[in-house]
Amino acid sequence: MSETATIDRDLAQRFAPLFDELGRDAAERERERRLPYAEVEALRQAGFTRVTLPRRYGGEEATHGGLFELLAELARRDPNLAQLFRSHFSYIDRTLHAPASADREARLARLADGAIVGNASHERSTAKVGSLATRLTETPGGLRLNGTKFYSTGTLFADLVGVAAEQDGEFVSVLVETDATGVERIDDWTGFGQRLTGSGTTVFTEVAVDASAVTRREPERPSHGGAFVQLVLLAAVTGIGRAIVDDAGVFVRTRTRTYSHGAASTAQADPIVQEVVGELSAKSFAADAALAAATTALGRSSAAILGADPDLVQERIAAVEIATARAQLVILPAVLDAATALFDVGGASAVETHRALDRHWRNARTIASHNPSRFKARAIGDHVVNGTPVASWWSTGEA
Amino acid sequence: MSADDFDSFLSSIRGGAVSRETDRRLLFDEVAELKHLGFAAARVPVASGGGGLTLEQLFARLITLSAADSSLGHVWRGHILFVEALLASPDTAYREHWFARLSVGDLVGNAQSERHATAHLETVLDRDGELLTVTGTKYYTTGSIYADWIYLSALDGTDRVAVTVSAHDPGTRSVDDWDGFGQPLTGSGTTTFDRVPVDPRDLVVHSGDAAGWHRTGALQQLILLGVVAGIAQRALEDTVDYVRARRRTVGHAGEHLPREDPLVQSIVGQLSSVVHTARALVLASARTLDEPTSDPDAARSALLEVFRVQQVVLPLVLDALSRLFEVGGASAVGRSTALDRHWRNVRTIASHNPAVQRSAALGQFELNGTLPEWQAPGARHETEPVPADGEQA
Repeated sequence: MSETATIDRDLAQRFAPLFDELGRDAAERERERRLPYAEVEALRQAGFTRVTLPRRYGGEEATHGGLFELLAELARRDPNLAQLFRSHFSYIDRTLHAPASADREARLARLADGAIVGNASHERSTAKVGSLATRLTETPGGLRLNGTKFYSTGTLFADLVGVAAEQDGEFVSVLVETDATGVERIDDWTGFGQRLTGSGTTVFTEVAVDASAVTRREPERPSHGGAFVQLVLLAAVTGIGRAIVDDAGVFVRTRTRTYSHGAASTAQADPIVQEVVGELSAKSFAADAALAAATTALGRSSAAILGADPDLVQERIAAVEIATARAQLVILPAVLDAATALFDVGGASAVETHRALDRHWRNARTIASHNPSRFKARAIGDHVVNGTPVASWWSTGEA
Repeated sequence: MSADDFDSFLSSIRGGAVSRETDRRLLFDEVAELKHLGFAAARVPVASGGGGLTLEQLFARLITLSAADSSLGHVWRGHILFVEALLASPDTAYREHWFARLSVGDLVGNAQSERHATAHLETVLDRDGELLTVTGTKYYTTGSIYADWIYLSALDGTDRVAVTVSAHDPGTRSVDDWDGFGQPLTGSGTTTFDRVPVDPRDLVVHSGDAAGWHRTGALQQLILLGVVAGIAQRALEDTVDYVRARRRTVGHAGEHLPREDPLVQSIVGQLSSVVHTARALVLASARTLDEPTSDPDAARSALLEVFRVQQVVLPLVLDALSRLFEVGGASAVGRSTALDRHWRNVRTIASHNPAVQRSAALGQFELNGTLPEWQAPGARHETEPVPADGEQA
């Protein structure tokens, strides 16, 4: 086993007991809409938020494969927790890929300190696709940030938030302290799934910004960031797929009522029930395999970026974009179908709200709706047929 | 019950369906209006004060009723089964005695299943001289909370009998403890009977008539499929409303509106195909079942037809209800739009009946010409079949 594989395996073993503990009341947390502040804090204390950092920043140097496996395992217990770290790990990845600078050093020091990073990128404004209504402006008193963001996943739990804004017609990313004056975080996410990700509104009103907190977005500098954030969502869905198999096993094994329609005297011995569970297991396996393939590609693009060979970087980023889009088209339908077919193990009691077995479908369906698959399928088809590159960043806006 | 009155009733209630589910506001007012419209007697002959609808016409209305409010359609399941059994009864006096009740709007709920480890009955009929009473606890008593009468199974000594008792008797109590993640307003919870008097006229010992039993089995499933077809129809209407109003798009500037996008159109087209197919299959089966037959083979064919329709319709609809979200972005998952309720409602209905198990039964029939023992009326019980696990039969 290679050194990195050993690190990843040790990490998975180390975090398993904590993940188990955090998963124990996941259904109850959702029902009561109890935001997971304590759980996020426990993960921070255990070093989870630092796993991908270099050792000298208190990290574990987890590989991309290792990180996404950890996220899938966390999602298996509670997919809200996995999703809310989406921007955090993407921010670390981006920072590690940035050229050495004092700003980079300062940012890594904050992360080493345990800081959690949220995001504020998406808007519900009527801005056209490819433009933003959030503005960073120069005033006599310094830089000021104004705007309203929605889908600010994780920001409720974060110390810092990365805000996408326009400055004089240019795209910039602004790192803002979440407790700064003028930042308001609102828990108004009303999705029927992933209810505890804090994916609500963040309002910025005349927030004072230091120039060191502003990063110009450089479209010419290649990045696999689009694939990275998409893969966090896919890891969460993959974890849901594993939870479906877990729950099917528990439900069938603990079922005492006999069926008069059944092919055997107990559900456990019933060939049809066994067949249903086998299908669920295979769907989960397909999700695992697709996730692993895409995160391997992500590791390769990261190595190329760090190696600074421009041709190789382009090639590997293109490869990870395609692998991620394809993985999405495997993972989402596999897990959504499994979330529906779970109930085919039988029994009206499976629909009782205290079991919350519907949450797998609601959570997977909600995550899947963040990036409609149809457009990805079309993009891959366009690539296969016409050689068109698969777009890296997907934006929304008015047509 | 004029079609115009029925349609204007549906228009008046459809807008409130989401908030009724969210607030868990039971459908007492809506059921009362339907009773007033004569829905309870829709199948009763015109000469006896009813609406005289064919079974296919009734199912067409059940589908549109379920589209307006899925729980409101489901509530009538026990009632429809009761009325269909009544229409087939050779006992004229019994029929007329019930036609009179139905014609004033009385609703009959049902109470079959019990919550034990096995499918035996613990509800008993007691005889104290001339006085008959029934005592027991039933679960999955869909519709009983709204009912005037409740039809239930009980043991008379060792015989399985069916009795119909007043839902308004002080000994009858229906509780809204239904805890499913779907169909929240069906009142499919517990009903208890504590020495509730039974009119001897309403005690029925089934004849073990195979044809009648097959027809009942077919109707039990077909009613649920009618509700499912209605939910699918509503999901299509909601999806069309959502896409038409939508301006946000995914991708790059200059792309067209969602309603003009071929990828979005394709998803809506798939959903539309499922909706129309489900409706056509349900109505075709209703047509087959319209005339009760005394030929057991013909009745069994009709039963198998419904089972086959169930195998096709349930997965098609569930799949379409999951995929409809592909028409839009994250705003489609909002709880105010509540597009998830369609999946939750159909998933709940589909879980009440182990349709997956029936695929093996159908295969057994095709391969070996036999059906599992649960299919054989009168083989072990001279009366009714044992209700399957969790069935709201």
